[in-house]
Amino acid sequence: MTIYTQNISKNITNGELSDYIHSCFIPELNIYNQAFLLLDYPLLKTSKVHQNTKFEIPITFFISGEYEGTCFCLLDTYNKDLSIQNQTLLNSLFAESMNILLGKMITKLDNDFNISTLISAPSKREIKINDLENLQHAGSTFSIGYKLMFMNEEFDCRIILNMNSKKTFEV
Amino acid sequence: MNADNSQFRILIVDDSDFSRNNISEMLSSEEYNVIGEAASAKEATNILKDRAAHLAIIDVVMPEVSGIELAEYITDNYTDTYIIMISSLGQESIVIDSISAGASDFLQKPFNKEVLLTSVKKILSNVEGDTK
Repeated sequence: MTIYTQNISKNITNGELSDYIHSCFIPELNIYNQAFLLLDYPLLKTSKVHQNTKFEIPITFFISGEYEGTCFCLLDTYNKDLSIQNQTLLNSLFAESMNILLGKMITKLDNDFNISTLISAPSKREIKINDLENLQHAGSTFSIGYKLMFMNEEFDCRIILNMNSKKTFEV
Repeated sequence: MNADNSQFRILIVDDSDFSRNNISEMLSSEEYNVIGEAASAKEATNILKDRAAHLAIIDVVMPEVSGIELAEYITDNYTDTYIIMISSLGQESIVIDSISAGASDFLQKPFNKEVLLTSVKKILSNVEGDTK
């Protein structure tokens, strides 16, 4: 029985993967002139993932293709005074902002490093305690931080990304 | 100045309500007739059963039925409807899949109003004669 993985054939180490992903996250992004994303802290390999707080709005994306995994995006609304209308707009804008940011990262990963992956539509499901804890034992997990500027407010946004090569088994 | 734009019926399909609202505002500012906003392929096909569209603007990545599958369905069943695909993903394979599914153009998000309107105007110039 031969076992091989796609990334072995490309000789991509976890360190290289980390460098590639880091270079593919753009430092700033204008979201239709209504909001702005600005890199807050660079991509870091993560061994400890903190559970999300009740003030953090979660959005989840699933990654498929040569690499598979999950991406949790958390927007911190602690101490922010927002009307219900603006809260609804913020939730919607945050989901689309993350969709665009990750879409650009995945596209660049393919164009620059020939790593072919896709992301799912954003899911607004609750993040369970086990979801984040399990990432700590699930191979390559990274975190990166952005500031989301919206309506004269600044929101912390952390992105926790887990990507592992898709294993292909051949008998 | 844009009075003629109101004759063009446009459907927007995107699971992001932020994106739908944004595109709708861009089109409405030029007086295009946005006949509906759908959050899924199912909603889109329900709208098309009742109201014909000259143009459908469709997001590629949507839950359940993808935008590519919806574009193929529209191409097969609504031959008078032109399609613009939109996505945050811009890989060549996705652009090729979009064009193969019948799309006339592909726009990567985020796009500005000028880019969208240039594409819409160019595509709708093909149907202008039919509507007069």
